[in-house]
Amino acid sequence: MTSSSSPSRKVLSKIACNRLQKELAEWQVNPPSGFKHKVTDNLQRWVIEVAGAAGTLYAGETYQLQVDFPEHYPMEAPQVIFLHPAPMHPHIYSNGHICLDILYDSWSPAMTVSSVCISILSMLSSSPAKQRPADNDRYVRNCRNGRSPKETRWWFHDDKV
Amino acid sequence: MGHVDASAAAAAARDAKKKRGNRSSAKLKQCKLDARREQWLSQVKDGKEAKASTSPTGTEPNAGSMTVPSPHPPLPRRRLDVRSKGGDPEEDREERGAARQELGSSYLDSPVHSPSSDNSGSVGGMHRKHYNNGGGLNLSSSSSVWSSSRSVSEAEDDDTGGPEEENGVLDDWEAVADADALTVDDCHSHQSSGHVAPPAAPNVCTAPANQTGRQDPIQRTKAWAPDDIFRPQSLPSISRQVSFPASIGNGWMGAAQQANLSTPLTCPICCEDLDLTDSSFCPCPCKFCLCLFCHNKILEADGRCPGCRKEYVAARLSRSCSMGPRY
Repeated sequence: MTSSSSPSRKVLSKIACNRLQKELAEWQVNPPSGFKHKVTDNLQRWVIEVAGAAGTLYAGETYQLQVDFPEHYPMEAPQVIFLHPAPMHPHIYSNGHICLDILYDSWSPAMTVSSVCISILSMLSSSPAKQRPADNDRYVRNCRNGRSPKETRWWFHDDKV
Repeated sequence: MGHVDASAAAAAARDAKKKRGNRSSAKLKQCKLDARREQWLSQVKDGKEAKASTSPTGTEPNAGSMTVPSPHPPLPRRRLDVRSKGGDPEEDREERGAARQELGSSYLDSPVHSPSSDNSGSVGGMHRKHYNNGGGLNLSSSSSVWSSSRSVSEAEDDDTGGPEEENGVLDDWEAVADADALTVDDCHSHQSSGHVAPPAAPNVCTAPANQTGRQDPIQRTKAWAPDDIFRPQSLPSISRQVSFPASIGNGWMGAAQQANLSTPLTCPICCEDLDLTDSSFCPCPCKFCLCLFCHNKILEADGRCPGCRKEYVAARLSRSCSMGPRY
């Protein structure tokens, strides 16, 4: 229902497979703090547990993060969404979509899953209040048919949170 | 004349050896006679050195350095000595040994030096033994840095007395055992050992000669270690005669090694190994290196550097070149 899968899901290319295997090996050797990768046979979809950082509004809470990789990763950004229930954050919608520029326009092939996770943790840590975005209801209504957050034209206006 | 002088030289050498054994008694007349014969032997060896300096086929810079400090007055004496020692086999052997030693001393010919280090070392030691036994004429007749260093060592030996000589000998032997002694110290220790052990002079003199001969190449190779490392690689591109291009070659090699160390081994985008072409390829001023395949794909996508997210400068040029006919 809330966990929407990408409509055009293709098999990973050779470069994407090689890159993801290297990232997975690096993750197992040196995982980022506060994150735990759920081991599955599916290399194209990672499910990651996110633990709220200590001293923040989300301390002691855990959330599920789903990362889907496109065919031409890392040339294309992965789709990163929160599984239900999504954390209460000014830039995270109730359907799990995340308004973060590095996931869309500012993606760089030099970024990795680890760097994305750290950015999301930083976004959670700098939240001033546990509340939904202003346009949450309208946006969720528009994405009812399983629309991908990568198809949204995001407006990244907040540099503090 | 030459033959008679050669035989006289051999007889004088034998007499000198015998009188070294008798030095323990130390009579005034014998000391005077030894001094005179040592002076004569020193003159003979100066002539041999003259031959050695002319005969070796060293490189031009080495030849220049050898000939420049030589003064004019001693030349006629050397010529006379050379004529007088025409056909003595022992002298020929010593000359060959000296030539080998000088050949080995030049670092440009170090590959030649290493196989013949033992022979040149031993012969050099013998030569030093005879040379160090010479008298004061060495000081006046010194014509090169090498012989001047030897004369300095002899002066040091003259300054020390009997008991001090024994202490010096012990210190020098310890230095030799530590293998940290310098060339001058080796000469000094060799000379002192000759004086202290007169009855077993030939045996004792040969053993330290071998040791010093073996140690000298080691020290020289240590001193030239950085050059030796770079020398084989620089052979194809740098001429041996000129030394300035050699330094340029070393700098180039150092820079190449530094460049190799800084570049990553795999492409951060596709995680493939970087070959030599990819390692030398650096499309962005921020030094973000990647393989040519990924670079081409990025140019097709948005043309921005993954590291600093700026437009590739070369990308614009390549785009304008490639898109020319379409526009």
